[in-house]
Amino acid sequence: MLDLLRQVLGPWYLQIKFVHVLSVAVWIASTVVAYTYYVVPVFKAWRRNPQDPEIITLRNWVMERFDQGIIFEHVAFPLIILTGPMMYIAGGWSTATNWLLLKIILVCLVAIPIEMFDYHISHFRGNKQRLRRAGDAAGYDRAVQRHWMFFLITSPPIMVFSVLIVFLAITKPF
Amino acid sequence: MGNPALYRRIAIAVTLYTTGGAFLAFALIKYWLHGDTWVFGWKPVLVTVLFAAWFGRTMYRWMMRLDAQYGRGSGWVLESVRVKLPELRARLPR
Repeated sequence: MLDLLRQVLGPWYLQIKFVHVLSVAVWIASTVVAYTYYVVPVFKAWRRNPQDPEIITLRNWVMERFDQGIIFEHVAFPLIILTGPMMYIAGGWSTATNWLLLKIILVCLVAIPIEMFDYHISHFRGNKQRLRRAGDAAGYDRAVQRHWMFFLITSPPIMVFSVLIVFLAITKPF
Repeated sequence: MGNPALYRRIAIAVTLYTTGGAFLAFALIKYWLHGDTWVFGWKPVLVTVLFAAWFGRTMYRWMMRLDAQYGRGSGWVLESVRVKLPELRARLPR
């Protein structure tokens, strides 16, 4: 079965790699500006002025726009997860390659769990626009605060480990 | 929302999960599938411990800064302005 897949995918290795690398770029960079210069300043202002109605209005607006903006990232991520194993098979890679094994482990341990939760709070039950339209004010506020806590907890690992994943893939250090 | 003690616990837990988990998974896969024992040597362990110490400290400071617990906020000006925030028009069902 693996041999058959390798024969089928082998000639397309570079095209698969193109989709993979492009998707990684979108996954890492598509929300950087929105997060750094819109979400973070507004949420910091809200944390210093938690009762200010003007800041809360802006916080909610930014949060809803971010729920939409992150669609790019969440389209790119499944492409990464799909094309990664395709490259693994087509390229004849194995776990004997140390940098690749570490990269795969980091994707499985860090990136996949974070993104699974991110899908949930951005597009499904935690989607702020949907909660607002449903008139669930308390649920809306809880969802915004949970999303902020998610940012607090995941920003350091996702920034550090996503850079490390790309570093391993490019430099193949060991 | 959070507080410094909670953030410290979270930073420690995430560090143990990510760094410890990655080291254990890597070492066990290398040992079981390839019989490699070099991962258990002092150099990989030292690199992992140093990385974990750096990451844990960085993560705690990162969370504190992100949650506006560090600093006075003097780098920001907050003036009340009235703006119209654009909203998406709700799509009508077809």
